[in-house]
Amino acid sequence: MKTAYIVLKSPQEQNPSHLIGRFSGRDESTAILVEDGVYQAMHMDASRRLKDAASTILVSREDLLARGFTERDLKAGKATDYGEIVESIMEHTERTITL
Amino acid sequence: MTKTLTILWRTGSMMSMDVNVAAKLARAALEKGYKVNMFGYGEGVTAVKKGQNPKRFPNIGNELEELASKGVNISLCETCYAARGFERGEEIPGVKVGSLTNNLFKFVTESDRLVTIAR
Repeated sequence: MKTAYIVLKSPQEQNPSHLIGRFSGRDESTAILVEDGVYQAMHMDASRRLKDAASTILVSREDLLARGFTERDLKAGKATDYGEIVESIMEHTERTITL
Repeated sequence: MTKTLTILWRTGSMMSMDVNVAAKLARAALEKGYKVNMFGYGEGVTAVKKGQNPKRFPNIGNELEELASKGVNISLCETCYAARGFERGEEIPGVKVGSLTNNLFKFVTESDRLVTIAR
């Protein structure tokens, strides 16, 4: 089942990739990074793990900028707005799990 | 047929920015033409208190009030609300004090997607 994983926490608080791998395969997994979850896409090890766990990684641009970073700092995924995040939840995946 | 998104939030307005994320998702969904329901549970009910006046961060009370005025159905758990000493009438306009068994159940059964924002 295509699943969107909302990640709210930084790599220092949580390793979401482990849980994502348990619930669904890489091709069926979309990671949505918001709040401190955006750090998951900038940390060397965490971003590598996330790329292995999810085929699509959406990073909230608003939350990235709020923390003093830009798209250039991302090691995984792409920066996007809440509109695209909602579209991913409603149209491109079948369920949502918050980690 | 219009798709429906329900957002369940469980963290308080002064704990993190979680409820702000819930509100941003609701706003984006509304702008894209989806029907949106929101349900506050546990500490999350503190976000609907009328008269919030934070000095240095976004006012989630105003945000939720605006969303309610634009058609978002916002409801919350009465038991959680009463447990924190709130009484009916202290909530922002447009918010319904409800229950898990009636309101959240109805929201979930009529929804295409359920998003939980919690820690």
